[in-house]
Amino acid sequence: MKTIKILKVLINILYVLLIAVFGLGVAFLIAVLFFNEQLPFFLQGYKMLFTMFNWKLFLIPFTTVINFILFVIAIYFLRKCIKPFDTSEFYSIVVIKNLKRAGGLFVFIGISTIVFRLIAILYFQNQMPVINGYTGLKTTGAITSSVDISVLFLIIIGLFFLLFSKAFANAKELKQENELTI
Amino acid sequence: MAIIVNLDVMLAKRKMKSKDLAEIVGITTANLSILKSGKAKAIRFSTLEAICKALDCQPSDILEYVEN
Repeated sequence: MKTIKILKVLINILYVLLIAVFGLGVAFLIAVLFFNEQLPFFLQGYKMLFTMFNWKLFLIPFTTVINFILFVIAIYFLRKCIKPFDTSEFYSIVVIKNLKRAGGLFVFIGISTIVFRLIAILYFQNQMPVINGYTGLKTTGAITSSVDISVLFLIIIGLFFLLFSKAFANAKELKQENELTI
Repeated sequence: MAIIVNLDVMLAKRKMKSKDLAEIVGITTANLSILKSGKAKAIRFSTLEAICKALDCQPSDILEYVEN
Protein backbone atom coordinates (compact mmCIF):
# COMPACT_ATOMS: atom_id res chain seq x y z
CA MET A 1 0.00 0.00 0.00
CA LYS A 2 1.13 3.48 -0.85
CA THR A 3 0.26 4.99 2.53
CA ILE A 4 2.34 2.46 4.43
CA LYS A 5 5.32 2.97 2.10
CA ILE A 6 5.18 6.75 2.58
CA LEU A 7 4.83 6.29 6.34
CA LYS A 8 7.77 3.88 6.34
CA VAL A 9 10.02 6.34 4.47
CA LEU A 10 9.01 9.29 6.67
CA ILE A 11 9.43 7.43 9.94
CA ASN A 12 12.84 6.13 8.83
CA ILE A 13 13.96 9.66 7.90
CA LEU A 14 12.71 11.00 11.25
CA TYR A 15 14.44 8.20 13.17
CA VAL A 16 17.78 8.70 11.39
CA LEU A 17 17.59 12.48 11.89
CA LEU A 18 16.80 12.06 15.60
CA ILE A 19 19.68 9.63 16.05
CA ALA A 20 21.98 12.04 14.20
CA VAL A 21 20.90 14.97 16.40
CA PHE A 22 21.43 12.83 19.51
CA GLY A 23 24.87 11.74 18.30
CA LEU A 24 25.86 15.34 17.55
CA GLY A 25 24.65 16.42 20.98
CA VAL A 26 26.66 13.73 22.74
CA ALA A 27 29.74 14.56 20.64
CA PHE A 28 29.34 18.26 21.46
CA LEU A 29 29.01 17.50 25.17
CA ILE A 30 32.15 15.34 25.14
CA ALA A 31 34.02 17.99 23.18
CA VAL A 32 32.98 20.77 25.59
CA LEU A 33 33.83 18.74 28.69
CA PHE A 34 37.10 17.11 27.65
CA PHE A 35 38.50 18.96 24.63
CA ASN A 36 37.38 22.50 25.36
CA GLU A 37 40.70 24.16 24.47
CA GLN A 38 40.68 22.69 20.97
CA LEU A 39 37.18 24.02 20.21
CA PRO A 40 36.57 27.31 18.35
CA PHE A 41 36.53 30.32 20.65
CA PHE A 42 32.77 30.96 20.43
CA LEU A 43 32.05 27.40 21.66
CA GLN A 44 34.46 27.44 24.60
CA GLY A 45 32.08 29.46 26.77
CA TYR A 46 29.69 26.53 27.10
CA LYS A 47 31.99 24.85 29.62
CA MET A 48 31.07 27.57 32.09
CA LEU A 49 27.61 25.99 32.36
CA PHE A 50 29.17 22.86 33.84
CA THR A 51 31.65 24.56 36.14
CA MET A 52 29.01 26.73 37.83
CA PHE A 53 26.69 23.74 38.24
CA ASN A 54 23.30 24.54 39.68
CA TRP A 55 20.54 21.95 39.63
CA LYS A 56 17.84 24.57 39.20
CA LEU A 57 19.55 25.81 36.07
CA PHE A 58 19.85 22.28 34.72
CA LEU A 59 16.36 21.00 35.48
CA ILE A 60 14.70 22.07 32.23
CA PRO A 61 17.62 21.17 29.87
CA PHE A 62 18.05 17.83 31.66
CA THR A 63 14.36 16.91 31.41
CA THR A 64 14.36 18.08 27.79
CA VAL A 65 17.24 15.69 27.03
CA ILE A 66 15.47 12.84 28.86
CA ASN A 67 12.25 13.58 26.97
CA PHE A 68 14.18 13.72 23.69
CA ILE A 69 15.67 10.28 24.36
CA LEU A 70 12.21 8.94 25.28
CA PHE A 71 10.84 10.46 22.06
CA VAL A 72 13.53 8.65 20.04
CA ILE A 73 12.60 5.40 21.80
CA ALA A 74 8.89 6.01 21.04
CA ILE A 75 9.71 6.57 17.36
CA TYR A 76 11.74 3.33 17.45
CA PHE A 77 8.67 1.48 18.76
CA LEU A 78 6.51 3.00 16.02
CA ARG A 79 9.13 2.02 13.46
CA LYS A 80 8.85 -1.57 14.65
CA CYS A 81 5.10 -1.49 13.88
CA ILE A 82 5.71 -0.69 10.22
CA LYS A 83 7.04 -4.15 9.27
CA PRO A 84 3.86 -6.03 10.26
CA PHE A 85 1.80 -3.25 8.61
CA ASP A 86 3.76 -3.81 5.42
CA THR A 87 2.82 -7.50 5.40
CA SER A 88 -0.83 -6.69 6.34
CA GLU A 89 -0.45 -8.28 9.77
CA PHE A 90 -2.33 -5.50 11.51
CA TYR A 91 -3.49 -7.55 14.45
CA SER A 92 -0.15 -8.98 15.53
CA ILE A 93 1.22 -8.88 19.06
CA VAL A 94 4.19 -6.77 17.83
CA VAL A 95 1.86 -3.96 16.69
CA ILE A 96 -0.25 -4.10 19.86
CA LYS A 97 2.79 -4.04 22.18
CA ASN A 98 4.70 -1.33 20.35
CA LEU A 99 1.70 0.96 19.89
CA LYS A 100 1.03 0.69 23.62
CA ARG A 101 4.66 1.46 24.48
CA ALA A 102 4.85 4.40 22.07
CA GLY A 103 1.52 5.78 23.28
CA GLY A 104 2.59 5.51 26.91
CA LEU A 105 5.86 7.29 26.17
CA PHE A 106 4.13 10.11 24.27
CA VAL A 107 1.70 10.67 27.14
CA PHE A 108 4.57 10.57 29.66
CA ILE A 109 6.65 13.06 27.63
CA GLY A 110 3.68 15.41 27.30
CA ILE A 111 2.74 15.34 30.97
CA SER A 112 6.34 15.61 32.23
CA THR A 113 6.98 18.56 29.90
CA ILE A 114 3.96 20.39 31.28
CA VAL A 115 4.88 19.58 34.89
CA PHE A 116 8.52 20.67 34.59
CA ARG A 117 7.64 23.82 32.69
CA LEU A 118 5.15 24.67 35.40
CA ILE A 119 7.75 24.06 38.13
CA ALA A 120 10.27 26.18 36.24
CA ILE A 121 7.85 29.04 35.79
CA LEU A 122 6.56 28.94 39.36
CA TYR A 123 9.87 28.51 41.18
CA PHE A 124 12.65 29.83 39.02
CA GLN A 125 11.08 33.05 37.85
CA ASN A 126 10.10 34.05 41.37
CA GLN A 127 6.46 33.43 40.67
CA MET A 128 5.91 31.27 43.68
CA PRO A 129 2.34 31.87 44.83
CA VAL A 130 2.26 34.41 47.62
CA ILE A 131 -0.72 35.49 49.66
CA ASN A 132 -1.89 38.55 47.83
CA GLY A 133 -4.50 39.51 45.31
CA TYR A 134 -2.45 38.44 42.30
CA THR A 135 -1.70 34.86 43.40
CA GLY A 136 -4.49 33.32 41.37
CA LEU A 137 -3.63 35.37 38.31
CA LYS A 138 0.05 34.44 38.52
CA THR A 139 -0.70 30.73 38.92
CA THR A 140 -3.15 30.81 36.02
CA GLY A 141 -0.56 32.59 33.90
CA ALA A 142 2.07 29.97 34.77
CA ILE A 143 -0.29 27.12 33.90
CA THR A 144 -1.35 28.63 30.58
CA SER A 145 2.21 29.37 29.54
CA SER A 146 3.39 25.86 30.43
CA VAL A 147 0.69 24.13 28.35
CA ASP A 148 1.06 24.69 24.63
CA ILE A 149 -0.61 23.11 21.60
CA SER A 150 2.31 20.85 20.63
CA VAL A 151 2.46 19.26 24.10
CA LEU A 152 -1.32 18.79 24.19
CA PHE A 153 -1.19 17.30 20.69
CA LEU A 154 1.52 14.88 21.83
CA ILE A 155 -0.65 13.72 24.74
CA ILE A 156 -3.67 13.33 22.44
CA ILE A 157 -1.61 11.33 19.91
CA GLY A 158 -0.27 9.17 22.76
CA LEU A 159 -3.78 8.49 24.02
CA PHE A 160 -4.88 7.63 20.47
CA PHE A 161 -2.02 5.13 20.21
CA LEU A 162 -3.06 3.57 23.52
CA LEU A 163 -6.63 3.35 22.23
CA PHE A 164 -5.50 1.85 18.91
CA SER A 165 -3.46 -0.71 20.82
CA LYS A 166 -6.54 -1.73 22.80
CA ALA A 167 -8.68 -1.82 19.65
CA PHE A 168 -6.10 -3.94 17.85
CA ALA A 169 -5.92 -6.31 20.83
CA ASN A 170 -9.71 -6.72 20.71
CA ALA A 171 -9.60 -7.21 16.94
CA LYS A 172 -6.87 -9.84 17.34
CA GLU A 173 -9.00 -11.74 19.82
CA LEU A 174 -12.04 -11.60 17.51
CA LYS A 175 -9.92 -12.68 14.54
CA GLN A 176 -8.54 -15.61 16.51
CA GLU A 177 -12.06 -16.57 17.60
CA ASN A 178 -13.23 -16.39 14.00
CA GLU A 179 -10.32 -18.50 12.83
CA LEU A 180 -10.95 -21.09 15.54
CA THR A 181 -14.62 -21.44 14.63
CA ILE A 182 -14.96 -24.77 12.86
CA MET B 1 -12.36 -25.47 29.16
CA ALA B 2 -15.82 -26.47 30.41
CA ILE B 3 -16.91 -28.03 27.12
CA ILE B 4 -15.17 -31.30 26.31
CA VAL B 5 -15.12 -32.59 22.73
CA ASN B 6 -15.42 -36.37 22.63
CA LEU B 7 -14.89 -36.70 18.91
CA ASP B 8 -12.03 -39.18 19.38
CA VAL B 9 -14.30 -41.53 21.31
CA MET B 10 -17.02 -41.40 18.66
CA LEU B 11 -14.49 -41.91 15.88
CA ALA B 12 -13.15 -44.97 17.69
CA LYS B 13 -16.68 -46.29 18.25
CA ARG B 14 -17.52 -45.91 14.56
CA LYS B 15 -14.04 -47.15 13.57
CA MET B 16 -13.61 -44.14 11.34
CA LYS B 17 -10.41 -42.25 10.61
CA SER B 18 -10.12 -38.48 11.12
CA LYS B 19 -9.14 -38.03 7.50
CA ASP B 20 -12.31 -39.78 6.29
CA LEU B 21 -14.54 -37.76 8.62
CA ALA B 22 -12.92 -34.52 7.48
CA GLU B 23 -13.58 -35.49 3.90
CA ILE B 24 -17.23 -36.36 4.54
CA VAL B 25 -17.91 -33.25 6.61
CA GLY B 26 -16.04 -30.99 4.20
CA ILE B 27 -13.49 -29.47 6.56
CA THR B 28 -9.72 -29.70 6.56
CA THR B 29 -7.91 -32.25 8.71
CA ALA B 30 -6.16 -29.32 10.41
CA ASN B 31 -9.52 -27.88 11.48
CA LEU B 32 -10.73 -31.30 12.63
CA SER B 33 -7.56 -31.63 14.66
CA ILE B 34 -8.26 -28.20 16.28
CA LEU B 35 -11.75 -29.43 17.13
CA LYS B 36 -10.48 -32.73 18.55
CA SER B 37 -7.79 -31.08 20.65
CA GLY B 38 -10.30 -28.69 22.25
CA LYS B 39 -8.57 -25.60 20.88
CA ALA B 40 -11.65 -24.55 18.90
CA LYS B 41 -13.47 -21.48 20.21
CA ALA B 42 -16.80 -22.27 18.52
CA ILE B 43 -18.50 -24.74 16.22
CA ARG B 44 -21.02 -23.92 13.50
CA PHE B 45 -24.38 -25.70 13.62
CA SER B 46 -23.79 -26.78 10.01
CA THR B 47 -20.48 -28.45 10.97
CA LEU B 48 -22.04 -30.10 14.02
CA GLU B 49 -24.94 -31.33 11.88
CA ALA B 50 -22.54 -32.77 9.29
CA ILE B 51 -20.45 -34.52 11.99
CA CYS B 52 -23.57 -35.97 13.64
CA LYS B 53 -24.81 -37.17 10.26
CA ALA B 54 -21.46 -38.75 9.37
CA LEU B 55 -21.05 -40.47 12.74
CA ASP B 56 -24.76 -41.21 13.17
CA CYS B 57 -24.89 -39.74 16.64
CA GLN B 58 -26.32 -36.87 18.70
CA PRO B 59 -24.52 -33.59 19.55
CA SER B 60 -24.43 -34.75 23.17
CA ASP B 61 -22.32 -37.73 22.12
CA ILE B 62 -19.65 -35.33 20.85
CA LEU B 63 -19.92 -32.41 23.25
CA GLU B 64 -19.94 -32.71 27.02
CA TYR B 65 -20.14 -30.07 29.75
CA VAL B 66 -17.77 -30.52 32.68
CA GLU B 67 -17.75 -28.10 35.60
CA ASN B 68 -14.34 -26.57 36.25
